[in-house]
Amino acid sequence: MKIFVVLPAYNEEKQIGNVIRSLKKNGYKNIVVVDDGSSDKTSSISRKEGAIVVRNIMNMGVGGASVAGIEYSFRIGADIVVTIDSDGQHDVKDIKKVITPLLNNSADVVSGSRMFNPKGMPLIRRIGNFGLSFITFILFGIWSTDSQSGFRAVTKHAWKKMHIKATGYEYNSDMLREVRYQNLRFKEVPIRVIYTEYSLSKGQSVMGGVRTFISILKRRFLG
Amino acid sequence: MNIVQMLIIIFAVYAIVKVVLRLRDKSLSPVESFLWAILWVGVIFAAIFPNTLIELSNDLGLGKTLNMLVYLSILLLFYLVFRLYSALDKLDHRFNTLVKELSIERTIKRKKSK
Repeated sequence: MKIFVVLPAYNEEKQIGNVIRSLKKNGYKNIVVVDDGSSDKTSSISRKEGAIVVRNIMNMGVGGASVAGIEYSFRIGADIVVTIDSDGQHDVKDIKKVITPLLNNSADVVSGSRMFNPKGMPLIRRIGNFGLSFITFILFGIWSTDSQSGFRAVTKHAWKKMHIKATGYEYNSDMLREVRYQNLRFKEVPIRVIYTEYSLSKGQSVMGGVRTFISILKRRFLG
Repeated sequence: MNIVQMLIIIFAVYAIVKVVLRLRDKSLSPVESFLWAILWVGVIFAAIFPNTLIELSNDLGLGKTLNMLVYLSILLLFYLVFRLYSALDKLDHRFNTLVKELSIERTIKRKKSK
């Protein structure tokens, strides 16, 4: 089984090198960084560290970047693709946990959930996260404790069935919607989150959460 | 015929000419042109025979003619906004696919040339 790790990155020169090194140290050789139109050294650092760089000519959003990276990986021969954040908030040791249900064929899509152990997550983010998970459940009929998690793993077979349109943060809910609509098997596994001042400054803001909410609504009612 | 009626008619004729021109250069489809033409012909008709409009709105129980016009205009606007939204969404999706494909193809090419 060929496993590829995709890192959607927008201006992540501070952390991307560390994340790639840590992936290599843990035995992951196929690393794809999607530079989502960064204006800093994200691309050059990633190449220097030995990752493949897919560079978007302009900023598409985390969803657009993830989709480009996943599709590229499957085209060049991946069997399983894992996406993790490039700000260093995910522990690469958790990749094993996330891909295990795919390897033993008990799921098609797996999501790493931060909500089994949300210690360190600011209260406002916990509330926002729950709200968006609840809305995703009401609108798409699929329950996830952490619908906004970027730590996901998907098989080639499942990816081929999905039609993901979203390009922003609503991508995470859009993927769950496709899991539901295409009758794919879904599992959640607990993951650890490394909260640093840097990783907290990244990710969704309150206004970002509101925008995501509006985008999910649009996707549900206007297609 | 008063000056307002004449202005409305002139404007509507101008709009019809525009519709025909856009049909010719194929920026409007025949069906769309037809719908727009009907709308403007309706406007001309209402300007020439305002009484028929009053009778029609009375028959429909909508009271004053103006009310009916406002209702129809709002409906039309809603429809146009929806059309615009759909067109924009389609364009956005196409654009995203284009950027994505470009990024992927460029990466594959770069890898091959190494």
